[in-house]
Amino acid sequence: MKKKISLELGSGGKLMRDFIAQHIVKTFNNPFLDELSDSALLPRQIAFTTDSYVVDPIFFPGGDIGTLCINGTVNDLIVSGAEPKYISLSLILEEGMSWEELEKILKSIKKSAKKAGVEITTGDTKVVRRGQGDKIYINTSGIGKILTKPSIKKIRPGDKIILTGTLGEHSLAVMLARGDFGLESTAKSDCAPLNFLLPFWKEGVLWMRDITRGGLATVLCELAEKTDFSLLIDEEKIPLSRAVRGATELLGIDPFYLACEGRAVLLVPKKKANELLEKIKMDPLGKKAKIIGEVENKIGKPGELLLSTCSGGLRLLEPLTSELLPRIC
Amino acid sequence: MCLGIPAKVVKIEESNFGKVDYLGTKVKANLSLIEDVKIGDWVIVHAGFAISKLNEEEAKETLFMLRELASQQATENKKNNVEARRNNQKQRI
Amino acid sequence: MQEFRDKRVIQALLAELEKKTRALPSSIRIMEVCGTHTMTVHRYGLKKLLENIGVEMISGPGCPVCITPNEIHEAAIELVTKKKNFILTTFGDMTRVPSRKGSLQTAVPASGSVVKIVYSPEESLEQARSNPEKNVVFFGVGFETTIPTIALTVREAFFEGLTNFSILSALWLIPPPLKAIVEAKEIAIDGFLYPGHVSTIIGEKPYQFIAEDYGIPGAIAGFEPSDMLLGLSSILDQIHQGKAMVSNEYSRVVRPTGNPKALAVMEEMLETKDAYWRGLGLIPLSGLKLKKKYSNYDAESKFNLNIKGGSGDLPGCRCGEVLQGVISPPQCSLFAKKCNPNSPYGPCMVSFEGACFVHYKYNRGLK
Repeated sequence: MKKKISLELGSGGKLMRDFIAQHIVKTFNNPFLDELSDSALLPRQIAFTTDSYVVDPIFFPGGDIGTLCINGTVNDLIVSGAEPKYISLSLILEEGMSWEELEKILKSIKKSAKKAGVEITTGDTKVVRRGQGDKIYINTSGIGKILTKPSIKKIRPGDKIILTGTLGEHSLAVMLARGDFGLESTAKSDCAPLNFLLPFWKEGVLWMRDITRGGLATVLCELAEKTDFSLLIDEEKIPLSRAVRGATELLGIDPFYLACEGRAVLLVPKKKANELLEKIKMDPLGKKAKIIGEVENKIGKPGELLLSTCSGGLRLLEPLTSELLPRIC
Repeated sequence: MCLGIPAKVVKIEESNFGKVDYLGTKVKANLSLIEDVKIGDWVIVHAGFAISKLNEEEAKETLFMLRELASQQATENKKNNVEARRNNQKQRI
Repeated sequence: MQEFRDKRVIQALLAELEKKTRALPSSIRIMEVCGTHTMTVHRYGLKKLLENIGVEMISGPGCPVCITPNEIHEAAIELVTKKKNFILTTFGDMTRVPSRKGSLQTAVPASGSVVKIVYSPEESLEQARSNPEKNVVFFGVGFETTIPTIALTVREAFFEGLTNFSILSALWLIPPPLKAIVEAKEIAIDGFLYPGHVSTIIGEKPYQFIAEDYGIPGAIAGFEPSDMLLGLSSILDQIHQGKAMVSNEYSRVVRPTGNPKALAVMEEMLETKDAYWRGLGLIPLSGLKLKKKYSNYDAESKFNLNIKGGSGDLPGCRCGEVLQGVISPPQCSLFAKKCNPNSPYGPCMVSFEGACFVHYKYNRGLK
């Protein structure tokens, strides 16, 4: 039986990670790619990243594919220690898509780019036959100026983990827009540029990641695997909005695995944690920020992510193995 | 698989459908498995169906009992801590 | 609901439990038979906390994903990969189960066909209504909590005269495997925690035989951490008093006679059948299927699926013993080695509620 590509390959889970490791990295093999970080850190202080956006539906409470395609790419640069500067914009349009929708999306892109301080400097437009696309797919690539390089090697036990805001709002917004389960909620996507975090790179932040597909648990598991320590987070400290709490309970979904599009997790030295937290909270996008945990060397094994539960027990969190909800970004 | 969440009935539509609310999130629910359902009733929702009414009296009693237990335990803990400190002091002296 | 999970409440309940277990000669083994109970124990980190006070929680055959045999999964995969213009709707956790033909998640549907994950069987009906040119098959898997919802959905389809809707059913009853387990006598179980939401449907009576004929204490429990601890507390009381009964510790939701409307719709639409349980083999009258009158809504007969039961597990797989509580996951030589969540060898490792999956995720390596 001939092997075929399954939807699961694009889910952000294990199958995709294996595909990238065994096919992409092996085939193209170079020191920049091998890092597999959110942005490639190139010579001459250039950071370079790319992302494709296939979210379905293209409009949702709090944003649309246009907001996503700028913020997603911009954030990949910011969390890699780079100031976003220039964006390329490639549009793949489906024959029959409405002009009105396209104009709305272009407006969103313009607005988001302005907010994020980036310019659209190049791009491409293609149109495919009706039925061979899904209204619009977008690819954006971004170039940024490296300010600092993340220093995972400097991480020590006692260093703190800061989460900049509530989890899962974007996923919930997309679910709402799909009209699944007759769901009604006030939730809006948290899609936003994380530029306000840039200055903190110079104030001692060791590592940063935006929480996209796979959610908080997957992101922190990836960090834990890169260190010689374990990470312990406290369930009671994790900020969740009432809307996400309600929806995830009702639907039986674990909020630790829900995608966001405007939230980040930072690793900061113990001494600087409180000071940095206060500064993060001063920005509207960071007002719900909390210190949710720390680097450990006495509990669990190196490379593990542990959760101290609200009931007083201990739970091992693993990375997401397969997609909870498809085409969320 | 037996996931069921208590939610409040906020709307009853024709043909046994309705909307239930949990922490402000509303979801569609099929109410045909419940007798005499009214707006304001709390039901357990499983897979988009209400499978049972929540007995609010019983729920309140259980909560009350749990709270009592927790505060009794907290008092006992405090007593034990005070005693432990006293013992430590005695030992030091 | 937060109160039912609160640290202080849990600590207080554990302290109460410890007073009761202290007086016993050895630790007690309690079996729960509901995937959601398995989840609660592990999600809140209760397993270790309970072990520390002498209560060993065993996970029985309460995970419908785990006990649904290979051949039924393969039938679902066949339908959507070989037949065009099919919409296979399913609950999420069924999609990860690996069979000899792969899983629903990695299956590539035939042209015009698709696998859709649903939260409610109702959504499958909506799919059928809005896609009259396609055949919609709902992969209906569940215990008594879910069965009435599936039965109602078929009934709706029947009254609407929908011709493009059917269910591929894997409907399981809880009391028969309980009987099989206590009769097998392979393990010493000191008490049963009965599934709260199955009980909202079937009431207290179906479990009575375990107390009356086998003298094993039991409690119907809800799914919050406090609910489970309250259930355990009642079992310990029964042990101390030397009596066995079915106590209802979830009375805010469970009525002694269950849900008459739900039972009525099950009676109307379904009949019992002998069924093959993965890991447990053939258990008489342990499953349900649609009555002949509704055979047009039964995908097995509608599409001549010819599902032959009893294909058995893959060689070396000990899920059967895990499901019966005879061994714990780490006692299987494949556990965490050949069999792990990323490449599950047996059903207990596949489902998010499977004993092996949960043990792997929540227990491994915790000091």
